[in-house]
Formats: sequence, structure tokens, C-alpha cells
Amino acid sequence: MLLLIVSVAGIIFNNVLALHQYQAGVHDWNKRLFGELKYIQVQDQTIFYQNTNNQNGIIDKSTGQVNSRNTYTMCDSYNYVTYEPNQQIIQLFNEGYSVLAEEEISDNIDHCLIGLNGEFIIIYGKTIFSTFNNKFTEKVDHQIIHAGYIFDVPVVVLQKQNEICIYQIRESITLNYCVESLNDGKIHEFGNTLIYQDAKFAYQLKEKSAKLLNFEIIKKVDKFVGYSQTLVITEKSKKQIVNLDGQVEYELSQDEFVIQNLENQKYYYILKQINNELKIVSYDRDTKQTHSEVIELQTNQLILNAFLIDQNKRQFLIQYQDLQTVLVDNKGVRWTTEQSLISIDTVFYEKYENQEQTHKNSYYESLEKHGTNNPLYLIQNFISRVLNEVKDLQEVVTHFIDNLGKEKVQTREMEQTYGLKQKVYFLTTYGTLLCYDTQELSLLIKLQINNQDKSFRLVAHHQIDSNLITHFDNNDAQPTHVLFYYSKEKSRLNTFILDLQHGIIQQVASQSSKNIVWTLPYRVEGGPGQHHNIVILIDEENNIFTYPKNDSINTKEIILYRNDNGVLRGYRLFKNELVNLWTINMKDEILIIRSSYHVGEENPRVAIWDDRKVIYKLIDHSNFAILTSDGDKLKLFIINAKTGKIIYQSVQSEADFNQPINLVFDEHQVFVTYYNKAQMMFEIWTVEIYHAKIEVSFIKMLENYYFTKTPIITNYYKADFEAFFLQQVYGYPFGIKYLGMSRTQKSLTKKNLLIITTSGQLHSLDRNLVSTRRREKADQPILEYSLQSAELPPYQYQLPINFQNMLSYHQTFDIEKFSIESTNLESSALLLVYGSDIFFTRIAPDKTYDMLLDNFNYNALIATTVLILVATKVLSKLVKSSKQVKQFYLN
Amino acid sequence: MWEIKIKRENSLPEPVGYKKAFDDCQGQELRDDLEKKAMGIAKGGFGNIFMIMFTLYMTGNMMNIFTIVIIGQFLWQAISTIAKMDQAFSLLENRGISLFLYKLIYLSAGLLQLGVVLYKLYNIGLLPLNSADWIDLVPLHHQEEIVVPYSYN
Repeated sequence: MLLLIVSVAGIIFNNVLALHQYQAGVHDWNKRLFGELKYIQVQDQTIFYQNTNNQNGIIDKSTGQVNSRNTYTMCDSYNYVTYEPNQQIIQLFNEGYSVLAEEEISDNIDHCLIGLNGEFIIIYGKTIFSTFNNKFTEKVDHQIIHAGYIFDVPVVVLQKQNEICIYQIRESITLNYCVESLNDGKIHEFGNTLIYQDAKFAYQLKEKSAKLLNFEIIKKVDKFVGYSQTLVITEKSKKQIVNLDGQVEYELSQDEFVIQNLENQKYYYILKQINNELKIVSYDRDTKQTHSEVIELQTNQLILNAFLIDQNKRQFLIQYQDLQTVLVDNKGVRWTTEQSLISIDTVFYEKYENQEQTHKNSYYESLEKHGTNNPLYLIQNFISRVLNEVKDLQEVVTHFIDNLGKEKVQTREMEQTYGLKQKVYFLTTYGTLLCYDTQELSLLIKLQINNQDKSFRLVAHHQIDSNLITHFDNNDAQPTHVLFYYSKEKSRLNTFILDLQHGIIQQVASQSSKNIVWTLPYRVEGGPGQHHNIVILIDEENNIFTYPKNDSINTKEIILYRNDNGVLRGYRLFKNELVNLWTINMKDEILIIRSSYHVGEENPRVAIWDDRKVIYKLIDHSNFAILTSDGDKLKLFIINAKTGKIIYQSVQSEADFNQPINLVFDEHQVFVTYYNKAQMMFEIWTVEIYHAKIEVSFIKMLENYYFTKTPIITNYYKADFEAFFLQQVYGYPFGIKYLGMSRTQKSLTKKNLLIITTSGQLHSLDRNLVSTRRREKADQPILEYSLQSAELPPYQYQLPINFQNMLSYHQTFDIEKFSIESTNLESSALLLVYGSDIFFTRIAPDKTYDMLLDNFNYNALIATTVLILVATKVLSKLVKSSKQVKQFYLN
Repeated sequence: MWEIKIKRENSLPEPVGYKKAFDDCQGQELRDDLEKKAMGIAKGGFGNIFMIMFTLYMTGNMMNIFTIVIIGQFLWQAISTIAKMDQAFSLLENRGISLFLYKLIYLSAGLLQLGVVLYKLYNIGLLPLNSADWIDLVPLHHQEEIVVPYSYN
């Protein structure tokens, strides 16, 4: 009895422990990025920053993490201004404690200055608003090319016909002076003054007049060092620090970076990265003495930007050209982060090689082969299921015995085996390839794409067989990644090969080309059992070429289509030729085009059941959807790419085109999201295509698909199909920034809509809720041959929100897009959301039906079973030996 | 020398209290008894049906361990009832009455039981009599041609 009590207590305790361990954050992580820094300001442990995308925020100096991202514009260290675009109201704050003033404005804030009397000066468009005395607003006639200070006096520089004019803003806006100029000049801050420079003129703009500068020197300027009134110039192989008259102060080498010292004009700090060492030189301008120190720092990149954080601690924040950012001081490297992740071109994954081979499950193999719901294999499946359960139990016991006293090592191994833990690769616009472990977030590989400049943009990334590529001695079957970069300016296409196994990126081709319109991975059949993969590339002039070179592409019909400035054209690629099939002139502006075909997706199921009847989705991957705008009307067209026929069109009015609009085409469903001005709500507009046929008899099913050698329904995209188009509109209570679809390995699990809200949350919306098949009323009878569903809830305009489906929990992120990778388990997938922040999580759109939860305790299960067995044996012995029982038998 | 000859004749008088054959009156009585007993066995299955129906109704249409156990038990009971038909009537075999009709009634009661259980199985979706049960026979979608979506660059 005692043992029984102990074992029950054990179970309860274990459950509590498991519940405690199961919490948010186990499978997810996030990174907040600050990107390429333009300007920083340091206060104690925080670094206020502004990046090149004009984002503001706060970096924790001790960790390098972005603590918060501001939606406000800093005017100086203490004053800032917020702007609410929907209400068009600005609010002025002092140190965040109080709202000093509110004002209605009609545009985004371009600049915020603080006047001599502490007043706010807000500049938006051509309007200047000041809070001086009783406020004033003035509109200028010309474009404001700069707003800043000259000797602490707020000024604006206006671009007029052939001159620039400097106006000071005090009690009113008054003209200081004008100087001759061209129309495309730039202004640089230079200490307490400004420097103007265009293709012909260069001036130092002072309070009352402009000083003409030596144009030849200004032309060579690499960097303006305003506080010391010097310039860093580059000429041929020389780099020098000179004053405005051209007198040389210090000679530099090409890869040295000069930091201007905002506190003290006495020193220059010069940084240089050589052979995994960072050299910091301080140059005393008075004594001409230099003092240098070396810090070990592994990178071969040049310094892009560097800031002095703390002069006493000799603390510097350095950004390299690959946007690796480090904080160094006299003690060495404090932290380092990869900020190039702020701009990701593409994301792809690689599964770990299986560490542990579990036995093959014949039950699941049978399900895969014969279908999950095939009654003909019911008994066979049942027996194999039982046998496999026994095998699994054996494995559990073996595991338990093997891992007695060990930590949870097997969980990690299992995660690798089932693809729940993978390697994720980020290819950034900065040309870096970064590989992280999805679970531990550790940087595994970092590579750099060299030999190309910033004008190159990624066109496509494909995986092909490595045996075709002669540049590597790859005898294994590992796929090789091919990257195509194109420069519109240079009209060149560069091809790179990425060998993940050996950690190499190599340029394999560079050719002149027109803009690439299509890239297509293609399988070339080379005889029985032989094939190889190539990539077909087609440029805007319809020139066709392949990588690796292949002369004949003649096996399958290929249909292509494109948007040629509002004219849609469909083509057929056959025997190395591109033939125009159809042309459609779209009257309205084309907003988005989406295809129903998605690369790498498994063949989808066409039949679905509802209340015991079978209905058929009409899937045709040659269909694509187009959204166009006409006034406030949002038009949706579904077009067949083979025939050029518009098979469906519909319209929604009152759409707000200033708000985000999304279009997703998945299998037979089209989802459109937009803001409806009349409803004052974001809406999800669903269109679904079904076949006219509905099957209610199982005898017919057997007749059609079992006893008939060629099933009656195989392809629904034949010309004579009968299609039903259903549509429905739902109101979504949040703003929708981006819409996508979840995906699993075999596409058997229900796909849900994944929504990035305008407030930066990630929401998984049950796809059934936005179905067009929801009936109007709950008590409405459903006819036998109706497409309306008896199983779905009745229609309601406003979608209910289950906050447990907020994948980002209570957190908000600055996220734009996402990438989904399937795992080896059908129920689960890996989801990575990125933008200025990165958020990673594991999703199970229809619950984790094929795996035990993380808090499942094998040890507790085994221990409890053993305890109960022992308790039963012991208790039965005790019972047999008890006096009462003996007496009972005697009597 | 002496000799005993046993004469085997049917004409020997019967012992006291023993009668080799029924007379017509007594035979009819026993036949009635046997028929009554046979009918009792034959109709026994019908008595269970209402109990089975009520229990199955009470289990509801949700699939859970109790439903599975109860339905399994009734299914086994119905099958075994039918399978044990000969056994049930074994005592009445070769007793001078025809069991065909009784066996037919017995069988129909067993089949009725089976029918009730199968109806329940159908209701909870365990009988593949709906078109949806054969959905896996429908082939997956295969696109004949390659369709290249519009590039977004």
C-alpha cells in the first residue's frame, strides 16, 4: 500500500515538474538588430543610435542587444518628437516625461531641431513649424536640402534655381545669404559649420557668409573630420589627413579608418584591421606623437564605420564592411554581433546527418504507400501498429537503461534525427552567408561572397546535383547550391557555387546579360534511371541559357509568364525556343501577381471530405492570380497561364491602397488582405475553386478509383472542367502587414494562415475560419450535393481571435517576411520570421499529433511501471501470508 | 454335465418402472416441452437487443476507450451468439423435433444484434460505407507541364 502511495505521489510530482519546465521560450529565440549605424550618442550604459534606414533605438552597451526601437525622432539628447501617421499629429516630448505640445501636420517629419531658446523646430516637406513664443508655421517656396545648425543657430539650406540659400530660424525665418550652385549638391556637417559640395562648387557655409573651398581637394575627400576642421582625402594610393588649405597633417595607409573625436580636438584615433588584429593608433596633433595598441580580432574585412564610445576606457564601436559589429576597449573585445542579418536576401536550411538511426516503422511506411485512410489495409496496418508499438516500448526501455543517470542528451539527438533542429543559412545583401544552429543559436559558418560590388543583387538561389560541377571533387550525392547575382548597371550575371560541406563560395561564371526574368531548376533525363538537374535562365530579351551548360531542353512542356509593364505575356518553352502564347493588356495598375505553384511542394491531394461526402478541389498550377487597382476598387483576376483565359474575376470596393495589401495563392485557394475604408477594418477575402463533382456513394468511389484502371478523376485542369468559384469576406480585428501559409513535409497537415500584424505580432489563423464553405446560419439544412460545410462553424463577418495562437506571445517585433522549413515529422515545421528583428519558433498547425510533448517523462513512465509491478508482487505476497487469509482457507 | 441356454428374445417383460417407448400421449407432452425449450433458446437473443440498444445509445458517438470496449464487447457477443448456434441447440439435437425454424429465429436474433452493433459502428464512422472512407483511392494532383511563376526581381 505504501509503495502504491509513493508511486502515485511520484507521478503527481513529475507532472508538476514537467508543467514547470514547459514554458514559452523553449523552442524560440529572437534577435533584435540595429543594422548599419549612421549616428550614435552614448549615455551611461545605453547607446542611442540611428541607422542608415533612419531607424532609431537603444543598444545595451554591455551586451550589444537592441533594447528598444524608437518610433520617435530625436531632436537632441533630451528632446524628441513622435508622429502618428493615422491621426497626423505630432507630440513633442522632453526626456519622455511630458508632452510639451501637440500639433496637426500633414506629412512625415523630415527634421527636428532645437532652437536657441529651447523651442522645437519641426520640418516636414517645405513647411517649418516652430514652438517659439506662440508657435508659427511657415511654408518655403523651394526644396529644403538640409536642416541643421551653424554655430548653434538652427538653419535650413534651400535649393533655388542656380543658388543655395541659407536661412536662419530664430523668432522668424530670415535669409542669411545665397551662393551660386548647381542643382545636385550635398551638405556635410563640419564642426560648427557646414560644407556644401556639388560637381562644380564647394563652400564652407558659415553664419554670415560662405567660404569658397579648393574644389580639387574637396573632390578627393573620403571623410570630413569637422571637429578638427580637417579632411581625410584619398589620392591614388595615398590617404592623408589635410586641413582646408590642403596642408598635410598625417599620412595614412588605404585601409586605415579615422575617427573624429567629439570631446577633444587634440587626438585622432586611427583604426586598422590587419591579419586578424585590430590596430588602434592615437595621434597627438600637438606633439605629433603616436601611440598604438593591438587587439586580437578575427576578421579579414575592412572597417566601414567606427565610433568612439569612451575616451578614458579607449572604447570603440566598430562596424566592418560585412556589418560585423564589435565593441572593443583596452581589455579586448567586449561583444561582437552580425548586423548584416538586418537585410536578408534568402534563407535556406540543411538537416543534420542523422546521429541515431531509429528502426523503420512498417506501420508508417504502409500508411505512406497505401494511404492513411485505406480500409483495405486496415487489419494489416493494425497488426503492424501493434508490433511497432512493442518495438517502440523496447526502445524506450533500452534508452532508459542506457541513459540512467545521464542528462537529457538523447532529446538533442532525437531533435536532429527528426529535423526539429537544423542548420539555418542566411544570405544577406551584404554578401555574407551566416549559418546558425536553429536550437542553440550558435554561429557555425560565416562566409563572404567576394569579387563583386554593391550593385549586384541576388536573382536566384537553386540547388543542383554536384556531380555536374567540375570545380569541386565531389563524389557524394550532396546537392550544391548555385547563386545567381545580377547587376543592372553593369548588365552582368555572376554565378557562384556554394559548397556547404567544405565551406567554400566560389565564383564560377561571369557573363554579360540582360535582366534575368525567369530562373527555373530543371531535371534533364539522360536515359533509364539517369537524370541530372540544371538551372534554366531566361533574360528579358528571351535569350535562353543554362547552368551548367546543356544543349537540349526538350523533354517537357514549360509554360512561362511575365508582367511587361502592365502587359501580361505567356510563353511556351519547347526545344530551346520561347514561343509567345498569349498577351493580355491589363487596363488597371497591376499590384501583385502570385502563382499557385510553389517550388519544392509535394503533389497535393485533390479530394477532401466533409460530413462523409467527398468534394474535389480544383488545383491547376498553371493558374495564377493578379491584383489590380482601379480608383478605390481592388480587382482580383485568376488567369490560366496555358490558355491566357481569365477564368475568374471579382472586385472589392473601398480598399485603401496606402495600407498593406497581400495576395496568396495556395492550391485551390486565393487569399487577399486589404484595408476596407468603409468597414474601417482589415479584411481577408477568400476565393476557392472546386470541381462541380461531389461524391456521396462509396460504391461509386470504388467503381471510379479502385475497379477502374484509369480513374475517372485524375486531372481537373482539363479544358472541359466544370468549376465552382466560391468567395467570402471576413473582417480581421488586427492590421495585416504580411500574409503567408504554413507548410509541412507532405502537406497532409492542415495549413494555417500566418499573419504578421501591423503591430509586429505573429498570428496563426485557423484556415477553416476563412473558408468560403461556412454556411450562413447554424440551423440551415445542408443539401447532399452542396459545397457548404456541416462541420465548419456558421459564417460570422468578424474573425474570432484566439490569443493562444499568437506565435510571438506578448512580444512585438519589427518583422517583414518569413521562411518555413518542414521537419521530418509531418505535424511540425520550423518558422523563421525576419525583418529588423529575427524571431524563430517551431509550429504545429494541427497540434503535435505524431510526437510526445517535451514534458513527457520517459523515466517517470518506466519508474512508475516498475513500481506498480513491484508493488503488485509484494502486495500479493503480503496478502497470501496474512493471518486472515490463512484463516479463511482453513475455515 | 449341465448346460444353460440364454434365449435372446424381444418378448421379455420389461423391468418395473421402465418403459422402452412413449405412448402417444406422453410423447406429445415431451415434444411440447422440447419445442418450448428450443423456442426459449431461439428467442433468448431478442431479449438482449433492447439492452444493447440502450447501452450503445448511452455511450454516445464519441470515440473513447469506453465506447471502444463496450462496442467491442457487444460485437464479440453478437458474433459468438451466431457462431455458437449449434452448441446452443446441442442438447435438443436428435430428440425427435425439427430445430430448423428455431435455429432460424436464433440466427435472426443474432443477426439483429450484429446489425445494431454495426449500425453503431457506422454511426461513429468505423464502417467504411461512406465515400469519404475511400478518399485515399483518389490520386494526387500531378501537373503535366512545368509552369514557371513570374519572377519577382
